[in-house]
Amino acid sequence: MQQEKGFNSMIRSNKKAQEEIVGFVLIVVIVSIIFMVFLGIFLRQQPSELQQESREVYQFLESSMEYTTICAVSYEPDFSKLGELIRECYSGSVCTSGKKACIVLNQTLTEILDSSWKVGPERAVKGYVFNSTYDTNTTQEVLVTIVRGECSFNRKGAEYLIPAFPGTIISSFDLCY
Amino acid sequence: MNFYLANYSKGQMKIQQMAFVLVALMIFFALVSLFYFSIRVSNLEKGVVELREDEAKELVRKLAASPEFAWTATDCASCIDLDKVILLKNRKAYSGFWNLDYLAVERVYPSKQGECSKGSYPNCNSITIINKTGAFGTPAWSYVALCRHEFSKSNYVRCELGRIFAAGKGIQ
Repeated sequence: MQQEKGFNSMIRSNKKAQEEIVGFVLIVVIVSIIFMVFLGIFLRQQPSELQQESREVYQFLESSMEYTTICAVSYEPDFSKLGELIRECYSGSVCTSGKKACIVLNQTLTEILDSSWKVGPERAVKGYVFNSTYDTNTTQEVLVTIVRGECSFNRKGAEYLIPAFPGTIISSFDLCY
Repeated sequence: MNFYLANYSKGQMKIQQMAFVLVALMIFFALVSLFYFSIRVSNLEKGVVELREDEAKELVRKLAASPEFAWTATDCASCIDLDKVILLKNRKAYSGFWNLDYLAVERVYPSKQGECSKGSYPNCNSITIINKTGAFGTPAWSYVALCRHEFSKSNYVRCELGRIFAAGKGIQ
């Protein structure tokens, strides 16, 4: 009789422990669901941070494309603007000085970027990526790529389009933070 | 009697336990929401600062597109006429025209040295049009193309990369 009593109380305390565990698990599950909902809302608002459009960069691209280079393709002093030089580079043109348009483009662009954007691990801007590609609906050809410093996920940039029939030259510039 | 007392204290314990769990949960949610809102507010503040900066840049850009600065020879939205700017430099009539404390144009590439005067132009770096007070804070700036007529080799239009700076009530 006493043994039976002990057995019953053991079963009762086991049941109680199980109930406590179920309650605890329930609380943990509810808390984690609420936490996930918070995280979901927070992350949904964040992605734009990773790749933001920057007016500053667009203004830089727009102004740089007007820069008068030292390359004249037809005659001097009809020097090409930087935007035109990208197009000439795609066409494989040669300047009146004998230099290839692509070489002058690379040199000029590197100098412009270096004097406009100071990058480094101790600076606000850690690095940058300049990319110019000729894009049609079917093909994509890289014309220039200039990379400086370190680029992680946090970027701000802009694109500048130059029509070049039958496609478009897309120049993109990203600042990395 | 003892049985009732035992059950009563057990019940009290249960209520206490539940109360502790509820309090702990409340504290937990309060901390989580505090953390969440602090991040949201800091992002919002950052966003406001960025928007204000962008707006100031746009206003500076709009200023660069005004007839006093604009390069009208070709269709170019980002170009300013550097020959006009050097002429504006010593015009006293324009000092109150834009309601600004500071207005300047600086060459970025190719970089040169010194403030421009009629004698040193165009082999100089910057042109300060307005500088009313030294305490105008950090000026807003925007990239522009600085265009002018070049006569050194032969007459052609030469555009270089520069920045226009402005500070004061006119751009706030």
